[in-house]
This record gives sequence, C-alpha cells and structure tokens, in this order.
Amino acid sequence: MPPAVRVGAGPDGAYTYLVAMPPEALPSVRRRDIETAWSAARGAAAASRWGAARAFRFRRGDGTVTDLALEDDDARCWAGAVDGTVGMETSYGVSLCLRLLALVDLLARAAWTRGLYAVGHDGTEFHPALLEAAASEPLDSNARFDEQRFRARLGRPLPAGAIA
Amino acid sequence: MIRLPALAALVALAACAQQQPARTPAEAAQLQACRQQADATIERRDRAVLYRDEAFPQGLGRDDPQRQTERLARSFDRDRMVQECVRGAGSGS
Repeated sequence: MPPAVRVGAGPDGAYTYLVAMPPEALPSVRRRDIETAWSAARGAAAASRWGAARAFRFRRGDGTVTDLALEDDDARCWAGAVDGTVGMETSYGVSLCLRLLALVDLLARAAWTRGLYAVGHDGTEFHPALLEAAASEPLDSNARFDEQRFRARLGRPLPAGAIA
Repeated sequence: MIRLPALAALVALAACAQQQPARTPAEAAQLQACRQQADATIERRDRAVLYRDEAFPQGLGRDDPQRQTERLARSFDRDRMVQECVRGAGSGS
C-alpha cells in the first residue's frame, strides 16, 4: 500500500507533499498535540525561525486534486515548527499542521470565538471544547473549518439571521 | 539567468535583514480580526461613497483628484483603526 503522504523537494528548498486523500478526509488529532503545535509555532515566531515554502497536492479517489500552497511567511514559520516537532511525513502531521492554520483562520474571522481563548504574555489559554473541536472537526475541501459546523459543535447556535 | 548587479544584491540583502519578525498565531489572528473590523467600519461609514466608486468607476471620465484624496484618506484611516485595535488588544502572544 503506498504511503498516504509523499514528501518531495521543490525548488529553492521548498517541500512538496502529495497526499493520498482530500483535506476533508484528514484524520483527527490529539487535543494536546494542537496545544503543542500552537506553542511550537509561537516559539518559532518569537525566534523568527522562517520556514520553507510548502505546497500540498491532495488527491481524491476519483483522481481529482486540490492544490494548496503556504505562501504566507507566518504560516510557513508555524508549519516549520510543526515539522520540527511532530513531523509532516504522515497524514497525521499534515492534518495537525493544517488544523493549526485553520484554527488561526477561524479565530481571525469568527468574533464569537473571543470568549473561548485568552492571550497572555505566557501564551494562549484555550477553552478545552475549542481545542477538542479543532482537533477533531473535519476540515473542508479548502482545509478550513466550516464556521457554522464548528459553532454548532460547541453548542453555540448562530443567532437568527446570521446564517449566510 | 538574470544576475543582479552587486549593489542591487546588497540592497536586497539589507531588505531581508530588516524583515519584520514573525507573528505568533495569536498575533496573526488578532491582526486579521482587526483588519476585518476596520473594513466593516469603513464599509458602513462610507457606504455611499464606496457604492459611487463601484457603480461609476470612471467618474467623469478620469480619476479625479477628489476621489484619489478620498481613497488615500480611507487607507490612512483604515491603517490607524487597525493599529489602535491591535494596541487595544494588548501585547500578549
């Protein structure tokens, strides 16, 4: 059976990942690994450890593909941190990295998450339910969290009229 | 292959050395949230002007100075809102 993830070397030190499943089929991860990844990313950013460029190609069973490239400098930095801790040669590692990025994206766009985490000088404290959802809620085909599903999961229904 | 002259290469190196420090995940999320908030505020506040620019992008057939001034002012205003929002969010990471 071929490996779920094949890591290759792209130009200029970039990494390429050929993943034998779509983003929405990536596995759940352990809650504490999300926390570890967040802390590692924070540490890498504080040390300005810029990561390499990374490009992912997700291949579905029917042969269709989804391509995703980490072009943002900060995202590269955080991905480098995940690679340096858990590693990204497995679907678990890829899932962890993309879940970390999806969590940052969700916190940025969903104001309702504000009460579920607190940012302090010593790091970020999360509500356990938020981390649990980030660890196990399926990613969508763009490797992001579906905000409505995520919110429903946390038992906080959207107010009337707020559904897009 | 195009080769940069030595001076240009030095300038490029200096620019790299001055690269902003990386953002932590919390800082990045906060910054993006502040940008969205500023965009929403400006969209509410300047709805009529934004609509005019979208509906009549050419104005009177040229990019008149008044519109350029408005766009510049909006851009400065947005940056100021974002900075204030980030400062107001505290310095945690």
